[in-house]
Order: sequence, then C-alpha cells, then structure tokens
Amino acid sequence: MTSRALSILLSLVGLSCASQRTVGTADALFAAPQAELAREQAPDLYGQAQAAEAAAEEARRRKDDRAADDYHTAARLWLAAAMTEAERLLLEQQRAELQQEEERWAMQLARDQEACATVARDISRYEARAVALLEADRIAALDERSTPSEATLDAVLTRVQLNLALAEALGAADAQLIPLRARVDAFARKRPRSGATAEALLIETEALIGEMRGQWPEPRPGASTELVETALATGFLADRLPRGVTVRSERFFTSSGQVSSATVKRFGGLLSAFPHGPVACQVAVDELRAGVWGRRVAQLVERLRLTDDPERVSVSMVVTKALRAGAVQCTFAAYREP
Amino acid sequence: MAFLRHRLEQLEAREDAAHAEGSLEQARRALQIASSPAEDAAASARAQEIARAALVLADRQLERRLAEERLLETQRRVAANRERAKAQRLALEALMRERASLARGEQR
Repeated sequence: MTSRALSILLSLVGLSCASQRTVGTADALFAAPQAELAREQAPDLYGQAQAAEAAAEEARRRKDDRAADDYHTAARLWLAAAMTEAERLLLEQQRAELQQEEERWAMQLARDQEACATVARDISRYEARAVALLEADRIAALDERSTPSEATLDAVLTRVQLNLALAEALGAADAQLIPLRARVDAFARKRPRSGATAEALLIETEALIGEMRGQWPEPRPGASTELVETALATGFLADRLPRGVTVRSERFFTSSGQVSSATVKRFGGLLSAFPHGPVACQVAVDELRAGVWGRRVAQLVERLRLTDDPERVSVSMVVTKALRAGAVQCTFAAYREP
Repeated sequence: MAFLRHRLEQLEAREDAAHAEGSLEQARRALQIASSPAEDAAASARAQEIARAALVLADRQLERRLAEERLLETQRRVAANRERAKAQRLALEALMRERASLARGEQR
C-alpha cells in the first residue's frame, strides 16, 4: 500500500465526516478505488455500509425520504469507519516494516560493536608488540663501537634487571647474582655511554638464565609460556603448538635481502635463554626466486653458526604462500606442554 | 440502547476523546433522537443504527490515531538506531584502517 493511497484514504475519511452528503456523492464513494481498499482491508465494516446503503435505496423506492436519509447517513458512517480501519491497518503495516528495519539496524549495531571490540584488541596487541619491538630494536642495536642513547640504556637496564630476577627465580646462587647486580647498580649510577658494557651485561644475564634452565634435563613446566612471552617481548611472533613453540619473524632479512644482524642477535639471546632441544627453522621462499633465496638462506645459516651451539639450529627452505617470502619460522621442539 | 449509551460513555471518558469529537457528537445526537418519545419505533431503530455506526467510527478514529503515534515513535526510534549504527560502522571502518596500517608496519 503506497503513501499516496493512504493520503487519498485520509482525505476520503475527512470527506465522509461532513455533515451533508448527497446520494450521488455516496455512490461515488462506493465506486472509488479507495472504497475498494476499504472493502479489502475491513470487509465487515464495508459490508455494514453496503447493507445500510441498500436499505436507503429501498426506502427511496418506497418514497420514504426520511428513512432513506437515515440509512444513507448510517452507510456513510460505516464506510468512513471502514476507511479509517483500512488506514489504521496500513499504519500498523508500515510500523511492522519499520520494526523489521529497526531490528536490522540493531543487529548491525551489535555486530559492529562486537567487531570494534575485537579490532580494538588487535590494535592493542599490535601497539604492545610495536613497543616491545622498539625496545628490542634498541637493545639489539647495541654495538660495541657506537654510543647507546638514553632510551637504549633504559631499555637495557630494564631487561637486565628482569633477567636477574628471572635467574634468581630459576635458582641462581648469590655468588652468581651479586657480582652481576653490583655491575648493574654501577651501570645505573654512571650510565656509561658504552655499548660494550651494556651488551656484555645483557649477554651475561641471558646466559645465566640459560645456565639455570640448562640444569634441568628438560624444560620445566611453564617454560613454553615463558618462551612465548620472551619471544613476544623481544620482537618476535610466537605461538604454542602441539609440536613445540613456534617463533617467527619477517625481519630476519632486510628489504634488500641482507641478513638482519639485529634480528639474528635477538634470536641468539632467545636461544641461549632457552637452551633445551633442537630448533628447526624454515625460511619461506618464493618459488619463482628460489635461487636468490638459496643464497640468502645460506648467509643466514652462516650467521646462526656463530651462536654458542651451532649444531642446535637447523635451517631449511620451504616454498609456501602461507608466509611472506623471507619469513622465518623456528620451532623449539623441546618446549611442548603435556 | 443501554449498551450504546455505555459505549458512548466509555469513549467520551478516554483522554484522547477530543480526537473523535465529531463522531461522538453524531452518536450523542442520534441517541437523543432514538430516545425521544416523539419518534416512532422505526425512526428510533434507524437512529440507533446511526449511533452504532458513529460509535464504531469514533473507536476506529481513536485507534487509528494511536497507530499513527506508535508509527511516529517507531520512525523516531529507527532513525536514531540508523544513525547510531552508521556512526558505529564509521568507527569500525576507522579502527580497521588503523589495524591494517599497524599490520603493514609490523611486516616492514
């Protein structure tokens, strides 16, 4: 039913309320398409109007003008009621349609609110990882020959203090901890602009953690979670999987294809802090450029051989579209939770 | 007749009765005629029929008005929900762009 039909009905209802009406007008009302709509929508009331109009016609044939007028008035009122009812039904129909639209908007709103919450959580994770990566980059950027910035010194101090706390929790003895703590205190006081000092502290505290962990024949319960958290804090992506902890990064190679020293150094720290079992790395490569990637992967293998335990890490290439070319995924197989 | 009078009183007692004043007045006059001793039985019956039709019309007019009010309220609600949903969609699109930007930054 269109709004135009509705407005015509409205006008007819208004007309039907007029006090005087001729027989011809009433006939016109019954013949009008709007009356047909009233007949469809309110057949009972329309039937009453027809019956009254038939009685009026009968009275006119009997020459009983007063009775004809009375019946005609009743017919006009019944027809107006039928039209009003038809209009009410149309309004209700429109309202039902609007309620459906309202439900659709409400559902979209609910879905979008849920999606917003999910995306916001993703953004928080990305931002947290970006912060972690920045800190990790600062630490990994330490170079014996360069002068670390204040921010890098802060990041190193934080990391070293965390490493010492973890080593103590893992059972490091005072004899191991006290000399390192004294050096850290001195480092915090003097804040020497020495990359060598800062890097030495980092390496020694990470090695101490690895030494503590290495005293166990296998990773202790919860070690896989620690590995994931440490990997995330040092700028890698990490997941716990049934076959072990998978650590991955797309930063092992620079955009020009060179092995990234910073990333390899960070990965070396991870290896020494989590000393158990073999680590199998796969480099995702592009099938069309497998030769180029072969040379790059060979460089990565050379760099990883410079770590403390060169036999521990194996590297292979895998042609896949699941990861970007150059992405490296390493599985710490011993770090499985039962 | 008693039923028609009772129905007239019911409708007149409604808060929104003014919106069917014309029909109610017609019913009132018809009932007066129907109860007039000057009218014969046939004229009284016809007046009652007019009163009955006028009361039904008044009732339908008041219900139609309520339906119109409900429709307007629903229209207002739908418009408000539509605006909220559109604003939420814009917010979601902005968040998704930000997430995509962060994801691209992480891959670099």
